[in-house]
Amino acid sequence: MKTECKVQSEKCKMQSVRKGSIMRRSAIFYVALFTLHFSLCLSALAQQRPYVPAGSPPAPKVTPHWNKFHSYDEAAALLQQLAKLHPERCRLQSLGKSFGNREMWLLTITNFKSGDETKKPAFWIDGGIHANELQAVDVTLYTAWYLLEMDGHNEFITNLLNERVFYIMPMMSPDSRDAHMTKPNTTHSPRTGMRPVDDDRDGLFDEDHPDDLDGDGHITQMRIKDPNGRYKPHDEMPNLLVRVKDEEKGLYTLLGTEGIDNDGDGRVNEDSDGFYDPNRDWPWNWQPEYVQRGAHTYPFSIPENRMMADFVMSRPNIAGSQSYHNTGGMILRGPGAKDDRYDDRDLAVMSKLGTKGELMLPGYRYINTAEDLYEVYGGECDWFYAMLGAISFTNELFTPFNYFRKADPGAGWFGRDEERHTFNKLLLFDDGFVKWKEVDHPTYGRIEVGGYKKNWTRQPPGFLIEEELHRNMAFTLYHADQMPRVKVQKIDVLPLGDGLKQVTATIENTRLTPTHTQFDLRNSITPPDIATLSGADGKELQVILGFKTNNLFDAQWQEQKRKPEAMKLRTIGGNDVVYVRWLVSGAGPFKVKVVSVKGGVDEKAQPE
Amino acid sequence: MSQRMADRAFRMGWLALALLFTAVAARADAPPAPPAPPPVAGYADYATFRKQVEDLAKSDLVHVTILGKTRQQRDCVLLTLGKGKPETKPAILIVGNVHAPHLAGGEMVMRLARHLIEHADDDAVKALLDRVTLYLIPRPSPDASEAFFAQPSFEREGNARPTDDDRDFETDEDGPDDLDGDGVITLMRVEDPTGEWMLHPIDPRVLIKADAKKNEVGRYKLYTEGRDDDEDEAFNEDGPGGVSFNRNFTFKYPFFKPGAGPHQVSEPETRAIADFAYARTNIAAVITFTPEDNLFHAWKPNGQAEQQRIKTTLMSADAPFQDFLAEKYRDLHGGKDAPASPKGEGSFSEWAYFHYGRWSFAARGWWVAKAEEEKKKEKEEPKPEDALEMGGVEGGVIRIGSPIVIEHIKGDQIKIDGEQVPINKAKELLAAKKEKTPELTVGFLLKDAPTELRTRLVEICRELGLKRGAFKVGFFGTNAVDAGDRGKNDINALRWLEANKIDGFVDWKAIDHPDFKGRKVEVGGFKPYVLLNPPVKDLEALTEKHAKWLGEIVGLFPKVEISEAKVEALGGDAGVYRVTVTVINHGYLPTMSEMGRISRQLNPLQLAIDLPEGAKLVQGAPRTQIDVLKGRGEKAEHVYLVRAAKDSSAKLRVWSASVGEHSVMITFKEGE
Repeated sequence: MKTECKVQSEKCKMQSVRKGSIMRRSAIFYVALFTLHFSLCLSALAQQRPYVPAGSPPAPKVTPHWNKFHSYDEAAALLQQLAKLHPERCRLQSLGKSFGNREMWLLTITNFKSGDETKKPAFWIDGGIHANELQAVDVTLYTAWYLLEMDGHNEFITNLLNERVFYIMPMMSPDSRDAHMTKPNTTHSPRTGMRPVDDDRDGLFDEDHPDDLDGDGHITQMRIKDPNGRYKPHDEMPNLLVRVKDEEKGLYTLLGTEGIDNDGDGRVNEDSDGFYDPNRDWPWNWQPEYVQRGAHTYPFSIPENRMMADFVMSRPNIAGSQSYHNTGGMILRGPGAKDDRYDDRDLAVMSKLGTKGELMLPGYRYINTAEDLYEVYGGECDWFYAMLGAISFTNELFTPFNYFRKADPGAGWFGRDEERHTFNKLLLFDDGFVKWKEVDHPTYGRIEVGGYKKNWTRQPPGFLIEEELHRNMAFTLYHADQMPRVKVQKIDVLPLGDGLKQVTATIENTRLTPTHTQFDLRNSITPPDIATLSGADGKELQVILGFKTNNLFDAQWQEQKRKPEAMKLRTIGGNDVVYVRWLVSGAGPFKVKVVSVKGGVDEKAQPE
Repeated sequence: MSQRMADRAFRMGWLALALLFTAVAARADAPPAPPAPPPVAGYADYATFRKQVEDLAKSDLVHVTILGKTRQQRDCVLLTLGKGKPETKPAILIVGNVHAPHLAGGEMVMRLARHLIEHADDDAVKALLDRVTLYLIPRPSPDASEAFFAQPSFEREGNARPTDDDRDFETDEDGPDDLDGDGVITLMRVEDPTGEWMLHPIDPRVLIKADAKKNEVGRYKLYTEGRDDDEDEAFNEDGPGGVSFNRNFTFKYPFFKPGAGPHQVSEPETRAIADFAYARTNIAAVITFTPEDNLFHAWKPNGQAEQQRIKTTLMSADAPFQDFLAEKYRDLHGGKDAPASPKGEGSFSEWAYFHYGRWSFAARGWWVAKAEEEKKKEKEEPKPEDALEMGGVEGGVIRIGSPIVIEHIKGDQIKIDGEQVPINKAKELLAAKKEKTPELTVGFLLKDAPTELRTRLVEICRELGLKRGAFKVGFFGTNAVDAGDRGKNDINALRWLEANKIDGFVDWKAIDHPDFKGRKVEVGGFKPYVLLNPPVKDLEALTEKHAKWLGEIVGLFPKVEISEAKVEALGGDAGVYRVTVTVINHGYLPTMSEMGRISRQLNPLQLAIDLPEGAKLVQGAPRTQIDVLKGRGEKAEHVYLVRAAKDSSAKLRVWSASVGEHSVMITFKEGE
């Protein structure tokens, strides 16, 4: 760890110029290699520890450090390590290369020996589509690690890997993750990918970035001494500027984000990296740029998203999805836009999951994007629900609640300034803020720059990261466990004479989520579940009639004329049953099998 | 839905669900068809088209770019036509054949290109090509277009992506079948008491929808020719392919609908063209040759709707310009009675305006002209029995009963309720029947009857107080039905085919249909493609008109100039000058449309001063933006305060990619 600290400080020195990024990247790469080497050494020694904290992997083969943010290279190394050390539970593939030539890594995690990966209900997890939202990636890495290291040690996790498959895409926007870490940025940037866009429509692309005037790697704020200014330092927190009262004179005028007018158009920082918002690039209810900032040109005009979408669309077994973002402590559901509407019955399912999440994630609220946050057209979360029939959530990680574990509903996404400055002083020992210092500005003259560092406020400070990761993962695993799970609960046989018998099968979905959402049914997204009766040898039995009903005691049996032996079930509700009845001629053992694209496969044999 | 189908559905009100799912061509297991020429002679198949493109490329004015490859590895061809560096001039993007069966659209684009090259030295064409770059995409979805040359012939709209049009989780499992083995897929009509279609009273080749309000009863069900291959009780609802180029764009995208694809811009060809378009900020206008048209059927602005955040109607501010250019088009084109424009959900031309932010003109170009004969007929006096029908209305309620039929046989012979009598015995017979049944009503089958006989019959009925009864049309026959406008376009099309000696209709012919055992099934109807794609001579006639119109559009483009640059020396040795720049748009069109402004897809004008070395601005920035300059002389003024050496010079420039550039030199002098 010492080595890393040293390189960190060197990194700071090198960060003075934006263009030094290549050197910095290679420095990070060597750190990653070193860490990888170090961890591999450790893993060879993996064994049961004498005393294991509750809920922790008892004998991890890989021992990453979680109170940090993994760089692209470190994350890639960890993924490769996990895939190498857990070959029976984990596969790593790249869906293609990003704009900046980085791999679009995808992990598949399941017990590959317990059934075909494409036939198990699947759960999708992604992180870092907004690359500045750093911990969104680390939570996916933590989840992958936790699942793999707990498998075989914990019944719940072992069952999950037996019955479910997890697709985990840790870095949806890898270039920008690297850019956030290695180039001057704020905690908010870059939200975009790195393809140049002419934001101010002057024919030039990304020509006016913020500028790191003091060369510290953080883009902060600019202020200038001004006897007529409207700002002054806070009485107790000198780094914090506050507005003066109407009758009072201030000491400073604020000049906005650190930067100069690079392109001579009279504006400062108006055409920085990007800009497109990779999370406004999804087909459902997509609207163009003038309605939805960041929409870019059309859905999946961002190739990284398209690679992911092509994969996801090839997996209709995906029944649940979780995307990680920051910040503000939210479990978000769609719809993203007020003119859209989800089905009430589907919302009831989301609500059961989401309120459980509120319990697991103190300080988090389960809310609706359009009504409670802001409108999002063309968001990923909507796409999963509306076009793929999955129950989907977006979590906004980290909440100012965590500063002092006090509820403060008016504190906003980032908390109150006073609170943050107090936290910075008492718990970060002033490490979270760039103190104001003087620099020369080509337009304004002698000014000062200072402000919050890029590495917190959206991101948790180091010592709070791991808890954030674990709690969010736990919510996601709860959701994954509540994906539909079909069972042939029982088979009743009633002889009717003359070799005819009535077979009634009770088909159950043992989880909260139905095999088809109402929205799915409305648009025929996922094929129906199929309950099949077949003879053990396939010859002796003849299915004469087939019926189904949802209510055995007030039965309105619905006949299926074509192929009665393979009954199509539109959906099986959450924690609900469907009854299938056959009139069968012939003797011999048989079995009933149910196949649900999103709910798995089960069968039960009937001796005779 | 195939476009010809769509057109007809619109014209005739044919909304049979079966027809909604018919974007289909040949089936592998269809009976082998004899090799046949393409539906219309003279149209280029893909190989010919590529040769034609290479021929055009011989011209110095033409540059060929392959924007992308389709699923079947055909080229998505772009022709860049112009002089000098194409990106440095304002441009017009012209796209044809966005609706795959409408090959005529692509042929028009190719002819236009050829015409402009051949006439490059004519004054008008020269001016055009000096001023703008033309980007031409004649065949955006070549895999889909190639269905025109396939057998059996069917108007296929989609490309080669297998799709699940009926969302039953199987792809391409129920296409049409050439049941009568004539090499073309037409329709089949099945006699069915629950059918909603009936024969047209004038021409039984044409079917119209029975109108329950008129007490008409349908007799036929209509389907595309084929079998229910997947036994789902729907016919030909999921044929081979595909995604329709013209339903795959982002504006009003029809989610989950046949032909729309898995999502917006999902296809290699749509993506290639969208990417190309978004990368070309110099494109100012888009012209699409397509059945959905806004030149004869102008988009209507809606002041209230346009207040919404999401714009779905032509902006009021843009309407005068769109209308004026459309009017010019109509004058040049000279066509009349253009068919209605189908809905443009996911269409290219609506995307071009609403999302891409460009002026967008959609031209069908050609359609079946209205035959003179029919027009005359419309003016005919009402027939006597029509007067009687009016009498059949009592207190606003049409009488309902079982009328007896009076049918003309020949000469003075008529049949009353099956009993043949001469006209002079009619009154007697009818009076007897009336006595027996006081509520008696009558119906007529008087096709070709002499006027005197009609008049006499009406008189008799009046005298006896007999009223015209409501018909059970399917039972009694059809020629007493007043079809109104129903089927008139089909009848017109039949006349047009006849007049032009085009073999474009398959007469109804009974077949044995395995899915309708024991029922009467006939196959027939218009041949695919013929009503959408005229003989090539008709296209030739349009070429020059379109070229002229293009010239008109470009003539109306914004012309932005620095009309004045006033340099004032402000005194002192310091050399301080005030430069007042006036930028004016002399053109008719604004520098961008209102939708263009809203959409943020075009670059606003940039105004800049290039100062000589050592010179400085006293304040402000050397470059600034002018959002929009309206046409017909709107001005913008900008002031630069400069410190510069005496007699040094600076350059003032105004430009935007879609408008062009203009610059002037100024000199800093004393006392001007």
